[in-house]
Amino acid sequence: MDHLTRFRELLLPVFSLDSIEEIQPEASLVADLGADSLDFVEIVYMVEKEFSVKLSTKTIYLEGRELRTDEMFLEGVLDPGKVEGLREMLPRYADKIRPGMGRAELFGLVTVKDLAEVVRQRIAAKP
Amino acid sequence: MATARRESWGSTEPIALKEYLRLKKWAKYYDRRSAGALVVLARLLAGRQIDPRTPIHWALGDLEFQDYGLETIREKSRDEAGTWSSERFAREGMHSVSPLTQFKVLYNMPLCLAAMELDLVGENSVTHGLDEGMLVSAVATAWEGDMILGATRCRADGGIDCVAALARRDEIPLDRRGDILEILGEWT
Amino acid sequence: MTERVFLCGAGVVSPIGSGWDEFRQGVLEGRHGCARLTVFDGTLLPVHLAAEARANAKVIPSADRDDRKSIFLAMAASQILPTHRGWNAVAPALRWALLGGGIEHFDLAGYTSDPDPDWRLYQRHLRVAVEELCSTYGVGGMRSVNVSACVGATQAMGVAFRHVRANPDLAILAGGTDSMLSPLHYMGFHHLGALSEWNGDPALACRPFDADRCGIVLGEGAGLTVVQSDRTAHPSEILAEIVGYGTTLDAHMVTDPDPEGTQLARCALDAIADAKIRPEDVDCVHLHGTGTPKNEPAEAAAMRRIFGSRASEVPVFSLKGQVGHLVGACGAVETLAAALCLREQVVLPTVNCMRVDQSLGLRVVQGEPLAMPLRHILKLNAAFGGQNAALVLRRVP
Repeated sequence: MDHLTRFRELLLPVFSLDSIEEIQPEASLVADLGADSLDFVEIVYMVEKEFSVKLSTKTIYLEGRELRTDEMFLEGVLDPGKVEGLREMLPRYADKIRPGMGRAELFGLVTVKDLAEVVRQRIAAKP
Repeated sequence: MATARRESWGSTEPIALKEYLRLKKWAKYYDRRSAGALVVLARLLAGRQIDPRTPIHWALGDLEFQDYGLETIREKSRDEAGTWSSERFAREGMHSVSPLTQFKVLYNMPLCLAAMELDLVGENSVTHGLDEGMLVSAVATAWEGDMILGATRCRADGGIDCVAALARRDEIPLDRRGDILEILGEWT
Repeated sequence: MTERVFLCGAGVVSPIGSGWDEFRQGVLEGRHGCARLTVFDGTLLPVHLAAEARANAKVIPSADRDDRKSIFLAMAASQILPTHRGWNAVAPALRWALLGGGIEHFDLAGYTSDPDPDWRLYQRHLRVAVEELCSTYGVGGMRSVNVSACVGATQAMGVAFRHVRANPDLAILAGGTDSMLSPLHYMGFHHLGALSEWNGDPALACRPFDADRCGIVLGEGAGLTVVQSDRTAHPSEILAEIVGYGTTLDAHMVTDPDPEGTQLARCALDAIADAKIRPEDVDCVHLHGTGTPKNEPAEAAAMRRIFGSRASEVPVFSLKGQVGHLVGACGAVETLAAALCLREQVVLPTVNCMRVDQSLGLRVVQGEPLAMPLRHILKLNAAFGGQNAALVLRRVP
């Protein structure tokens, strides 16, 4: 089974779903699957158990990049000084990144594929 | 007139939780105590118009730890001599159970989950102990209409007994002593 | 005319001191109760901060097997009841005990080291301690343990108030006790991602209303008072009058409070109506103020619903910067602090709120205590799961 399929299967119990057809790779975890903050805590736990990879609920994973939220936000909104750099780093999301967006909005961009990709990279980087 | 409903489930008997959930996803927060509470309450209230401000009070018996991964934590928190190791607990034991476990050990979850499912926003309380103690909270109200009183017992074998009742304040027998499931069950 | 109902006397065990005098001094001087965890070995845990209960400035010791909240309950009761004139003048049949408490203590170390363990033997039930208390101090009437998480003690006190108002001959021991400072429960809270991971000085880790607030610090302790009417209360023991109680449910989400604060506000308004006063009669609000990212905005939203344009003018306070989160006991210890502030006619600065989160629009006192006439304090608490509870206290001159 390929990594992405395995990852989608892992998410089934988090959303109490029965088939991975309901967890499409491009689905946003928040907007499409309805993930809340505790679901991310649970996903971090399941990923560690299944893949021995430690993720953090304080990091946003997009396009294989790891963005530490505590470094990007001022008073809860995206630091205007970071917008250009982020757009270059994340071309697929460039049109969605704008100054003043909140933490939750940026979290809302993360798709199943984004998260699976980070896990894949971490597994590959293991000695 | 007060009315009540009783339901019991055997140790491995499935509880038809999903029939009563609006969002399937929420099933993962339920243990058997919470599932039993929602099912008995939903069945009691079926076909009735309930004011969202209807008070709800629930009593629960002792917590059954053994369903929640305690044995796994134990296995992963022992040193070679078989004794407790703070170090192993920190490295392995504490990460060996799902974060959802914490919901299942909190006593207020059966009440809060049922309130979410049935849109109840009224006066409330959760009492530990299956005696008459929970009646104290229920009668301390100015609410004139029916209110919800419920109780859940977990038997040692994993079986669940639940009662849910609708009664007005003046119907609640504050002078009664004994098993709350029996007291409420008299209205069935 | 209905009788008035009072909080009479205090027994308290808290991270800033035990006994009324040590607690009182600790509250007023802004003493810090949060520090590194010591009651069990947590050095390797990802977070090891706690507000441990202290007596005479020393952490109260216990063994792995001991249920700390049962110890605190007995300590607090022994401070208040033996010499309580109002309580001891009431016949045992008219003495009740309504207490808030937390989940069972579990001796994980003992259980893990046992080669063939029966888990039941390692569980400690609070109700055993409550039964002991009732037999020691002659509680002949009703008793119950409210386990509504973070509003357990607040509800217990509110219910006691309603019963004494209806039956002025009763004397009800009310309050709560809790400790989650054991490996199993500490782990649970860590899993929820609820604990502060403050890297700096542990004393600063719980930061209600602060722009850098980052989670709760688990505290522990007990608070007890006797709820009596003026028919049975001894005037020298009266701390404050209790005039209103309300409780509601968010019915919103398992994990988060309703960000709109709708039902939290309604519970406060119910308590205010129960007190037969109006929102403009409330001089100060002692909020739940956990120091988590989501609690404070929900409370700020509730403040706007309760007070309208006055929401940014009414001074607010949270004791949690000093004592952390006492979970099932927080409402008891915080209500005693509110009674203290009414007596002293002061709004205290919220400890560790150094840079107020301006988006909240709340009036948080910083620096020096604010001396002002206080007639009514509104006390709010909210539980994980969505239970809300509110009390209104009135000054007794």
